Amino acid sequence: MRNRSLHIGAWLLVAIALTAVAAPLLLPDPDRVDYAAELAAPGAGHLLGTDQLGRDLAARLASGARTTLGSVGAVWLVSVAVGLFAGTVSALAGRIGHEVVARIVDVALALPQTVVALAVAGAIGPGMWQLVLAMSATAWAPTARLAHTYVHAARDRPDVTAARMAGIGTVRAMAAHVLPAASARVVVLATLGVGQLILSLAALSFLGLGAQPPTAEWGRMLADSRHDVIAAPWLIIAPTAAVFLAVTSVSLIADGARERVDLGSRTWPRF
Amino acid sequence: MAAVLSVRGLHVAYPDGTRALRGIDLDLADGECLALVGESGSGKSTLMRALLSLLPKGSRVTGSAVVDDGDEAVQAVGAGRAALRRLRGGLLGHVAQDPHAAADPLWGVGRHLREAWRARGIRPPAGAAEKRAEAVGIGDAKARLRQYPHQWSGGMLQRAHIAGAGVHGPLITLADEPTSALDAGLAATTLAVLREDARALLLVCHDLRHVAAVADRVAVLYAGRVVEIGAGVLERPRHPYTRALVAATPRPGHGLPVELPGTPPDGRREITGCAFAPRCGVAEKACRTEDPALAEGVACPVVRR
Amino acid sequence: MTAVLKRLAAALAVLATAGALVWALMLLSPVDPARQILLAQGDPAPAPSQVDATRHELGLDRSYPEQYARWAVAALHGDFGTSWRTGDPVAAELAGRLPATIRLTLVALGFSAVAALALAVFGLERPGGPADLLSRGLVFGGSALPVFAVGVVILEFVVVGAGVGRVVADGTWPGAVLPALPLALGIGAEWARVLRGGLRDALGAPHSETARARGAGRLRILARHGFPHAAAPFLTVAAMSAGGLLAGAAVVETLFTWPGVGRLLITSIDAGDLPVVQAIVLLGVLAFLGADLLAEGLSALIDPRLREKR
Repeated sequence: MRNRSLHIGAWLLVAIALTAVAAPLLLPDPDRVDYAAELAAPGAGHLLGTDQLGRDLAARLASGARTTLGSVGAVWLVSVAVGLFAGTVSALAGRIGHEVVARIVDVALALPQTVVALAVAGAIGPGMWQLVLAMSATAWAPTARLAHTYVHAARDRPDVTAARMAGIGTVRAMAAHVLPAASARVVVLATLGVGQLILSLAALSFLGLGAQPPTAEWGRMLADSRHDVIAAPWLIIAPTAAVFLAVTSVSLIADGARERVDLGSRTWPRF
Repeated sequence: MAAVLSVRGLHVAYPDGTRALRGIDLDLADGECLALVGESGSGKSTLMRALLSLLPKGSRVTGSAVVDDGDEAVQAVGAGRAALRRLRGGLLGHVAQDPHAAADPLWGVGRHLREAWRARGIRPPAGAAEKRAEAVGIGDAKARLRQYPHQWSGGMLQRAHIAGAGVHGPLITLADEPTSALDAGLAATTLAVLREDARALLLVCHDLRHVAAVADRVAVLYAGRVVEIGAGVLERPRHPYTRALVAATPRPGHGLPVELPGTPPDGRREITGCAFAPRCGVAEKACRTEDPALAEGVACPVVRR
Repeated sequence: MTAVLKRLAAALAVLATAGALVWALMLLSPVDPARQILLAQGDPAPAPSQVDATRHELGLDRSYPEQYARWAVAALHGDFGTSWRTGDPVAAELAGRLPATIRLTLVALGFSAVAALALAVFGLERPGGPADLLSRGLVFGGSALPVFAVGVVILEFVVVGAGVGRVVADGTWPGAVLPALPLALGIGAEWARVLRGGLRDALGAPHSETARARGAGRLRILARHGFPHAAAPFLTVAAMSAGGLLAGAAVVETLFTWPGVGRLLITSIDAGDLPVVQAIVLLGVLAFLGADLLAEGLSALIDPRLREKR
């Protein structure tokens, strides 16, 4: 599984994203309820059958893909942007700046991601964006730490020192020599966490704390159809397969990317 | 003196098909130091691994490599459990290239040394590890053996490995680039310690100056074959490859070293004729079709005439 | 020794900050705690004077820092206040549910350990061979399967469908077996992944080759060289999984109606019962920090290089 991982994963993700985006054009309305066609088996008219309210399952899967990709993408973005920024500031600012950021990172790292999500849901109520907010609050910490370590070490690197001695300001020298590589590492680390993030969001939605009806979300769909599963097994197979494929695609990408970018041994053990 | 090691027709192919050794013939006499030199990929390390049966699973080994201590002869190729038990750590000792990589960082050096006994299911006699350490020149052994590998210098740690390899007085010590990972100054002394401690020594080394200092005979390997073997090989090289190798070594007073152009052949492909022919200055038409046999210590019909 | 104390001090500081954040959740909630408790205790229409009295009792009229201090001190004594849903002391509710969750978690961790060990060792002999690829595939697949899906399958098809086990869980050890399975899947896959990687790295390393050259058997190398090396990354990951345990337990307990702390958490979140949520969340954070410290300590015990870095 060399860089085949990266390619397979990337294609899979593209396929999922395309389905999510193209679905409204090709599939029926995911929210359209049809009591006459409840729990219909896959067949003509409904590619993957219908759920307990007669809604087209394929359409709901695609809609769920949009929900998942959207939320996970948002957290990923925060993880990369805020992490990179905070880590770089921490590495370049003086002692005080470093201490402040480092302490905040310590606290953020000490709070388990899902526990925070549960706590926030408990305080302000359920909802997809509430979860995204909660998860973002902790997601930036590992990337910040990585960025800090890398940038901090890079300060004394020969090429950076040479640039600074040649008269180029520290910030410019770092931006040119260090930032691209730091960004690459941060992106890879952030991507490594996405698989778990998808599973967590789905699990929380399953518990009713995430996407609220009628918004489609894979975990939620599984929860809603739980009792009809024996009669209509496709209601479980489809969302599970969707989650599985999404997580697998991202994991493959992350694993493949990790081969190319060195994150340091203590960050993440390989497959 | 009978040969303690007799290798005949040794062929080794790795699981992916790469032919690392294409018919090695050589002998090692008791107490002799034979150095193996050649470019990377020539098969030097493969030979060592083959003798210890440490090749990756799925490798194909054919031919014969007999270790003979006078009382009993053990076949190293395709060795079963009983034979391996006699060979590994018993008849054959092994010193690896990088002392820090070869020592388990989680273990104290003393424990590492005692492993040489324990690995063979023997309880290390009290003080034996310290005695071995002192024998290779490690002072204050008792205290130092309690330390961890990362606290020792490369040279000292390699001596500890040499001590460990020689615990059971092996007939042959196999040393694979034992000084490559050390600073230049330490290399010579460490090599001297190794030679002193070992009985017969099969030494892989790419630094020809060290080889000249320590070896009784030298075998030159190219593309998995012995192309030249003998006592004065480095002083009076005959094979075109050996000549190029010597010419490429920096020697004060001999002008700039001459680099050998080209690259060694791909081990995955069949080689017809002499493997060195494409890079050889004196190659003839016959060299590309006829396999040069090792005769009179050199595998080159052109040079022998 | 000072290094250890420094580490503990740092951990306590983090815990205090986390505690403050957890407490601060209260500020986000639109609910009036005093009114809520009175309602929970049976009064359908609490009079404003009563609400004020309760507010004063709960210390809600004091400044924020003071409120936090009171809450923290009480928490240290095990008093987490009163549940807004039932009106009973939170601590009592927790104490009642905790044993069941502990049983479930221990069984799940046990399964995970066994599975991780099996998958890590399977295929070790021949890297790249069929057994190795199979175990790698299983591990990869296992970490992509959602816990709740597996739970639903087990529940609907095994318990309800085939009649194995009990539908209403009782919180006992034998009853924990089925619910523990989906929980063990998520954790086990993670553990297997790290253990696999660690073992393969260790066994391919030069020091293992040296040991083999000295005559050591495969089993000895696995035990003396393989596992100790694989232990360090494993401990790090194991500590991290402690963080996800609460959410996993919440899912599994809700699904199997297991009388544990996880289910209480979800019930409380649904009911907006903040004190209970705060208490359980705090427990979760505490467990995570504790696991982290334990893992660090054990790692330092195993790897002498880690001892000197501090």
